[in-house]
Amino acid sequence: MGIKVLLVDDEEEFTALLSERMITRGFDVDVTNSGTQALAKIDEKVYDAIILDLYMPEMDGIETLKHLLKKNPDLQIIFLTGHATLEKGIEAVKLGAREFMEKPVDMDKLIEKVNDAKTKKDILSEEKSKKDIDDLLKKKGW
Amino acid sequence: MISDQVLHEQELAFFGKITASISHELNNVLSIINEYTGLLNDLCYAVQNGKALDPERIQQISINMAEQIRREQKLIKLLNRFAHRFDAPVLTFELSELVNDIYLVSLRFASMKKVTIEFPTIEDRISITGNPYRIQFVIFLCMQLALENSEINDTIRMNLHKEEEISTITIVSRDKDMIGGQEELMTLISSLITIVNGKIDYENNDEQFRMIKISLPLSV
Repeated sequence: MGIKVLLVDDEEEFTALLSERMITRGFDVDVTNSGTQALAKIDEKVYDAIILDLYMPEMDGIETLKHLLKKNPDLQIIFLTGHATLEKGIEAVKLGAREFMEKPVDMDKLIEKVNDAKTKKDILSEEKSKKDIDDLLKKKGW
Repeated sequence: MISDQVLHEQELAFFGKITASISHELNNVLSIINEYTGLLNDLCYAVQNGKALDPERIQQISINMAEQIRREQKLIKLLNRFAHRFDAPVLTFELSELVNDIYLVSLRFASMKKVTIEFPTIEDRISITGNPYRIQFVIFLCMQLALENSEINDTIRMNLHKEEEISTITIVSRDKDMIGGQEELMTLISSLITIVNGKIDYENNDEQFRMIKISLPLSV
């Protein structure tokens, strides 16, 4: 099973193309066109990386980021936007986004960042499991 | 009446807002074209590795790319028309084209709020002599006022009429009675309307909805 990616962008033609190209490369990609749909999706499935657009109707990328991380602070979120300004990038990273990339996308760089996100997620999962085991052992007095 | 300095600052902010919005749209189109070129590359790679070529798929990609390029051209023309309205303080120009452009630039702001804007195709050409930059600014501000009063899934209705020597732009939207919260915006609109020798009326024919009516003389 490939690396699980959630792609969140309101531009449907763009998401259809990007997801097809990523699926060809072995990724397991789901697509949503809004922040609200993304929040519902993460309740259904665990994703290794989320690729999130900045400017979307109703709930923009920054608001979506805040809500996503509130649900799961370990989510690996990559901002992908055509409206890249340094301030927005810094704001997103300060809020907990992993990366900030500009559109048009360089596929090789995106893949690299998604792979890095997966590695980070796996490390965090391992650390959490280790901590859970340590806590359990302490509780048992072992 | 607002000061010249405040007016100038607001005009610059308007210019920046519109050019940023259109450039964002232009980049979105380039991103899609970029993905199509990447997809073509991926398909070539697949063929080189033994997969059959699907000519219908290639043809469809070509058609879709051409459509995006047409979309890009329309956006560039919109940006060009917007910019050229700064050429001179008094020009004779097509008001119907200007109002249509304000409708087009407002669509993106409206879609961010999940609001629809309706504007019918105006067949008649309405020529006007005046300050095109300030006229487009005041119409845009009235649209912003309407958007601020709108809720998700609302529809704003814009129209343009001509009667003798006066042209009228109407914008109908929800009326949330936000006076006080929108004082600054309404002061700016009022100042601009005076500068362009126009008239503005806010009509409440219905409890829930309000019509903003901008009347402009066809010549200064």
